[in-house]
Parts: sequence; C-alpha cells; structure tokens
Amino acid sequence: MTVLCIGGAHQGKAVLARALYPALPLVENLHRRVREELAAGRDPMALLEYLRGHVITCDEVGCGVVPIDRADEAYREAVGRLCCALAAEADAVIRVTAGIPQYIKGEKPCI
Amino acid sequence: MLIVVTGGAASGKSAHAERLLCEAAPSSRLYLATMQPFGAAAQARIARHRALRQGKGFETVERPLGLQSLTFARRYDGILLEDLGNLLANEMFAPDGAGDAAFGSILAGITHLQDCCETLVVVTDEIFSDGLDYPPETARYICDLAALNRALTARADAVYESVCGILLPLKGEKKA
Repeated sequence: MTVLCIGGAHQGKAVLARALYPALPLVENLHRRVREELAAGRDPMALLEYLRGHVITCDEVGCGVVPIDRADEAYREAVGRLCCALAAEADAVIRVTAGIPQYIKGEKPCI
Repeated sequence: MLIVVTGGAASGKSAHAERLLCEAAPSSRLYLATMQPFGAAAQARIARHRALRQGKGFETVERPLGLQSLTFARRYDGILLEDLGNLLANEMFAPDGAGDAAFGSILAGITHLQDCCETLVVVTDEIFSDGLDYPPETARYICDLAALNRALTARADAVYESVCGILLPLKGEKKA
C-alpha cells in the first residue's frame, strides 16, 4: 500500500501519517529529497519506484508566485510532477490542513 | 457554460481542463494560448501542452493579450483559455497591454469569449500561499489575479481545484 500526505509546511502530516499507517515505513519531506536529487543531477521521477509501499509526506510547494530563480522553478515543477505521478498510483492521498486530514483519494483505514 | 480550473504549479490542471472541455464540447474546440514563448522554460511548457492536446481536435490560437478584439470565423462548441496568470502578466506588464486597466479588460475579454462558444474553460493559478512579500507591482499582480479568480468563480457554473492531479470540486457539478 502506498499513501501520500500533502499539505502546507508544519501542518502535522508526519504525525498523522504515523498514527494512520503505523505498519507502513515513512518517508518524510519528499520535497527536500527532490531538491537533493536535482542538485545531484538525477531525475526525481526515478524515486517513484522506491516510494511504493511507503507512506510519504510532502509539502505542497506549488501555490506561490513563479520563482525568479530557474532552479527554484524547476524544483517546484519537479515536486508537482512527482506528486501527480505518486498520487495516480497511491491507494490514498490525504491533504492535511492544521492537523486535519482530508482524504482526496481513497478512504481512511479502520484503526 | 463557464468552468474554472485552478491549482498550483505542476498540479495537473491543464490535463483536467482539456478533459473537461472535450467532455463538454463534442466537436469544434479552440485552444487559446496566452503564454508568450520567451525563454527555455516557457518553450518547454508550451511543448508539453502541445503534446497533451495532440490528437484531441483542437484549433490553436496564440493570443497573449487583448481578448476583447478577437474575432472568429465560427462559433465554437468549446474554448479552452490557458491561462489567466499569463494573460494578466501580459496585460499588466507588456508594452502593448492594458496596464492599469488589465482587470476590466480581461473580464470584458472573457465575457466576449463566452459569447463566442457554448462552453468556456478557464485555467488559472493558485499563487497566493507562499507567504512572501513582493515589490509593489508584483503585489498588485497577485491581488488582481485573486480578484479575477473571485470574479470568475462567482459567475462560473463549475469550479475545480487540481491537487496532485486529483480534481476537487469547489463549486457546481460534483462529478470529477
């Protein structure tokens, strides 16, 4: 099972991810990982396979003004595209606002 | 009918907007592109959007500003306007744009487009949540885009937000 938790920074995504999916390994802050991959000259989309079977948290970084810096723009674009691909495969996608989960794909597990 | 599709950068809104237009408009479809092809990033984006549209029977018109004075040889089943963020930037900052009158000019242009088709789909941008301060002209741009979004969603039949490629209904039709 693969679950994606998205939302703004500091919204309680990881706390929810642990509480809702204790059996799944957690990958936190995917957006930072994307930045590292780009800095290393690798395609972040290649992370997709590794991410299967995890619960993943990622900041929603695309809802601001287009950055002037090309690298910042490419980073934002890469996070968005990876999240679209990940969400398409995921069993559940949760958008977290102030610690409150909204299931925008799939359903809440019975715990 | 007016449909608005919003979302952050790389959130999958273009693909959804095209699908919604194709569902609503059985045959004659116009793609109205507002992006000016300056720079490698813009060209890559344009190429990506072209590839998405390929084989879907769209006519394409590139028009960075001045929608009000567009004339068409026919009436379309559907027009896809992509996107409002670029259109506003062009109207506000291009030498031949509407400048301070951008807001009213764009709203009038969209009313005109609605008269030229059965279904108009407008793609816009969510740029309002980075919490940063910008110079006055950028702040004005952000404020005007937000005002345009509010004006359009008020008159829209359906409004959606694309999040990670998932289409969330915000107003109107609940099917996504």
